[in-house]
Parts: sequence; C-alpha cells; structure tokens
Amino acid sequence: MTRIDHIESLAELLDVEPAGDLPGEDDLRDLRDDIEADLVAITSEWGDRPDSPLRITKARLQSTGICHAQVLSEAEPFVLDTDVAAGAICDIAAGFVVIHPTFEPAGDWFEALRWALAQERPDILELVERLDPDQRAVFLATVNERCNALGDLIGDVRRSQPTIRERARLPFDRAGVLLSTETDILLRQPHPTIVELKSGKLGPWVLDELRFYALVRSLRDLRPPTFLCSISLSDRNITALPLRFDDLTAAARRVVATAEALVDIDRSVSAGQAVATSPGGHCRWCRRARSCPAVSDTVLSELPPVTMDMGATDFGATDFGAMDVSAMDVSAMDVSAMDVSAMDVSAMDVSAMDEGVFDDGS
Amino acid sequence: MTGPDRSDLGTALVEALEPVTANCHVQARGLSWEDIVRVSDFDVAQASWCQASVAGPPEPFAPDMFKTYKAIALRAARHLTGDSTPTALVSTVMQNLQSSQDWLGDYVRGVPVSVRIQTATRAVSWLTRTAELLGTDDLTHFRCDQNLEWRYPGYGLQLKTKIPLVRSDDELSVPVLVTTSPSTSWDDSVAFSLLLWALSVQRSADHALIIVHSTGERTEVEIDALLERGIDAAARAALAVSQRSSGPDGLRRTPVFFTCQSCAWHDSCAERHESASRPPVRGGIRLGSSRIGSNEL
Repeated sequence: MTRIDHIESLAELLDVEPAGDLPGEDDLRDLRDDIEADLVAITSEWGDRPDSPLRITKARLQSTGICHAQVLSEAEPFVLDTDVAAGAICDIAAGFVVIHPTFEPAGDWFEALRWALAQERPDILELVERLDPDQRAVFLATVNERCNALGDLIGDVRRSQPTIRERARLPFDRAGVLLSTETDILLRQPHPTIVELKSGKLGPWVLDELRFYALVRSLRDLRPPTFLCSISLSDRNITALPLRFDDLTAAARRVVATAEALVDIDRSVSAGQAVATSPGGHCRWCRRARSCPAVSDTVLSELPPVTMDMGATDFGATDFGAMDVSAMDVSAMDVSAMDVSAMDVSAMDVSAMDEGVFDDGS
Repeated sequence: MTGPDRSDLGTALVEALEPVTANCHVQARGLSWEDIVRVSDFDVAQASWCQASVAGPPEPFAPDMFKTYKAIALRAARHLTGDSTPTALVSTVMQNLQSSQDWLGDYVRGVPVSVRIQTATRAVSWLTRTAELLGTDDLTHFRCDQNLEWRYPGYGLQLKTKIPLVRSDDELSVPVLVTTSPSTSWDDSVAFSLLLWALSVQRSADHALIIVHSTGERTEVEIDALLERGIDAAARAALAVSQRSSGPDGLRRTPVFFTCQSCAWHDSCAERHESASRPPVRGGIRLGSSRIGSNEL
C-alpha cells in the first residue's frame, strides 16, 4: 500500500493524481457475487432467524473481532461518555469547516456549537451540565484543541462537492444481509475520497473501517472511491492512501467473518447457550463489563463508580422474579446519588432478598 | 392497472375516508384552522409504523434544522447549473433568507449562526446527493417543492403532501420523490403522495421516479399501481389523526423501539410493555436471555 505522505490537508489531496488502476466494474460485480454466495451459504441453515435483515456495521465488524459477547452490549442502554461526546462535537465542527471554511468561533468551539448541539445532540449538553467544574474544564479544552486543528487539516474543499455523514446501504437480499455505513466526509471531485475523522488517535481499526466504507460504496455504485483518508485531530495528522482491489477483498473477508460470528451469537442466544468471551483491556469500554463474569478484577477495579438516578425509571415491565442476582457484587456500588423516592416497588417480589446488606437507618 | 380507475379515484377516496368523517367537523364557512383534520405524508409514514402513535396530542409546528434543511436545499436546487455548486447556492439562499418574509426567513433570522451553518451543511449534503442520483448537475428544468392537497367534500378533512422535484418529459410531468433510507413506512408515504399527485395533476406521466440516497436506488414506479395502497394508507392515517382529541382506542399498536420513545402513550401502552419484556432483537439478531461464559475465542 502506497501512502501519499506529502499532504498536510484534505484540500491538498484534491490536487493529487491517482497513480494506479482502480478496480473495474466487472471486478466489482464479481466480488459482489462472491460475497453474496458466501453470505447465502452462512444464512441458509439459519432457520429460525429474526425477520429483520442481519445488519453489518462498522461497530459490529469491530466488536465481533474483539469479543463476541461485546455484541450483546447493543441491548444495554447507551451511556454517553466524554470521549464519545468529544468525537461527536468534532464531527459536527468538521461539517462546519467543510461547508464554511472561514468559520471561526468567537469564543470556544463548544459555546459556538451550543445551539446546534441543542438540536442535534441535546444529550451532549446534558452530559456537560453534569460534569464537575474540573471535568468540564478538561472536556472543553480537549474539544477546543481538537476542533482548532480542523481548519488546517481540512482546508477549503468546497470545490470537491463534499457531503457530510452520508449513509450508504448495500442489501444482499438473497441472504437477508444489509451492510450499513455512515461516512464522516465524502469528497466527489476530482477524485472520490472517503474521509474518516478521529478526534483521538488513529488506531489499528481505521484502515479496516475505511476499507469497509469503500467496499459498501464500490459494490453499491460499481464505482470505487479513489482515495481513503483518515484524519487524527489529537495527533494533528492526515493519512491518505490510494484504494487497491486488495483493500476491497480484505473488507469482503471481514464482512463474511462478521456475518458468521453474528449468526453464531444469535444461535447461542436463542438456544440459551453461553456466548464466547475474549476478555482483555477492551473490557474497559464494554457496556457489559459489570455483568460479564470473564472481566478481570483489574479492569473491574478501574471502572468508575456507578451512580443511578432511578426517579425516571419505569419498572412496569421488569420481571424481577427472573432476575439472577447471585453474581452481583454490590459492595462497591455507590448509591449515594440514587433517588428512589419515585420508584414504584409495589410489583417487586422481595421475598428472596437478603435484607442483611441494607441499612436504611430505620 | 391494479388500483381504482383515475376517473373514479376521488370517489374511491371519499368512500375509504367516510368512517373518518364521524370525527370531523362539518365544513362550514369560517371553520378555524385547528378544527380541520390535516393528514400529511409524515402522518402516513408514522401511521404505517404504529397507528396509535399518530393519535397523540398535536404539537405546534416548531421549525428546526431537521424540518428546514430540505426546503432550503430545494430553493437552492432551482438555480443549480453546471456552473454552480450546491455549497455556493445554499450559501446564497441562506443569505437571501435573512430578508425573506416567510417561515424559512423567520427561522433563519431567529437562530444563532451555528444552527444556520449546521442547517446549511445538511442542505448541501442532501442537494449534492440528490443531484448525483439524478445524474445531472443542472436542476433548472425541475420544478421544486410542489405542494398538493385534497379536501374531503363537506367536512374539515384535508390530505396534504409535498413533491420535492418535478421533471418535465415531453410536456408530461414526472414526480420525483427522495428519501435517505428505504422503509415500508416510506413506501406507504410514497403511495399517499402519488395518490394526491394523481388527483391533482392532469398532465402527468404514468410513472414516478423514486430516489433513495443510502442505497443509490433510482426506481421508476407505475403511479396507478400504487393508488390503492395510497388510499389504504390515507384512511389509516386519517383515522388516527382524527382521534387526536379522543385518544387511540381501536387503533393498531405496533411497538417500535424509536417510535415508542417519543410516543404520548408510552407509559400506558400494553403492547409496548409486552414488547419490552421480550428478548431484544437488534440489527437482525437476538441479544437477550443468554449467559455469557465460555472463554473460547
């Protein structure tokens, strides 16, 4: 893979001429047929599958590659953290710079984007309100530092007919599988370019993500992008690569492997069997970390304390009788912020509960 | 031809909506705005997911970036030629709106600069992708943002939709409908819009063009083949909208995760509670009621 290493901004990439040959329409059609045949083979024996198509996304490509059980965390409530929030703000700010390259915030970026966030991501505003002053100062400084890098790293790309967060879907109807992506920035002119923006550092996954985006667009349109590009705001660097057919075949293998893994997970879940785990450092970011028995004590000790606001929780549909609390370690749970005044416990069967752990002072 | 004949279309629609009129005011001079039951393509799409969710209390219209960016993109589309870009045109439209005396002008003047830019960003992306799928960088021969409405005779009941783009082919008009992602609710909404089109437009081509941003589909559909579905979709949505003051009794309830989150009947809906107690299915696989355990990878 030949890296284009002399560019310092996305705008400079517009003047780079591609060196190699791009995959042709016949190559892409053949690849699409090959993937469909593999997906049909995987799903043909999956008799009692749910009605909806099997969706393969960037997140699932990654989670099945790390730990099958991590896929189950999709059913857990989404918890926004400051890293994800900073990334989302940077994505929105990137849209500003792409469409309006002369935009400069009067104060800091967060304040400049506040009203846009109120419509687009009100959950981020709520998160920032909840941060203590020190956390907030660190968060705002991080956002500011990273968004300040956008102007230099992107430049003026308006002549490229850019689009922001454009979705692409590729259905394989015979297999009941849907590939789904959302690209941070897409340039059309003079050479189609897929851009992935990272507010943090460029991890080893970035190339896989770009290849996956390229695969979906190439097979959908039978016309491949010319360049794959990633931008790291924390490192202030930009990396661009010309697309090769090998990138697409590598992505195709990942798609097929992901489909196999997802079908295995569904089969295990529906049969009540255990889903395989692969614990490691990545457990720190898994939403099931607290309930997964495979997580190491070291990781558990590093997790932030749990704070819960139960006032708005609806327990109407909760079947407490089926709840397995035997493996639950509540000794480290911080319940000081728990508001249980509005909790309706009338339907709760507490007969089997060990009251010894409670000290309500009464 | 699988649906009603076009000459009988109005009659067929009147018959299908007749049960709804029991919930509507008799049309008389001076019927106030809020006394008219208005059914939009958006209501039709929502009723396709869950009919009961449409019968929630009406919310006053409040423009935001999600409700304005397409309208802004379509104002720019009128001027898109090979010599201009979506970015430049949307920027010009946003500037012109600063002095415009309509709802979009009010919106643009009333929001901070960051919201204006974010709205423009969405408008540019939508227009760029739409032009790309139409295979042209010149949209000046399209009509944009055509409003259509139909009134039930004698009652305060109105159906309305917008056709984003209309192309002229040999003096016949071809409606172009655009969505970002395909869905069954979108299909009902398309059928509804084409029903109103067939009722309103005399010099229509026999087909419509459907564009889907995410899949890249450009499909020609026969308008007459969708009219019966459009009538059914209209009746289903109209019944739900007409029950906004009385509640969702008798309406079909279909729990859908995201629809339920914002539904007025969220807390009282037995179907939602029942659905919530079942193991979750996300993206085509089951995710609940399983142990995590073996360390096999």
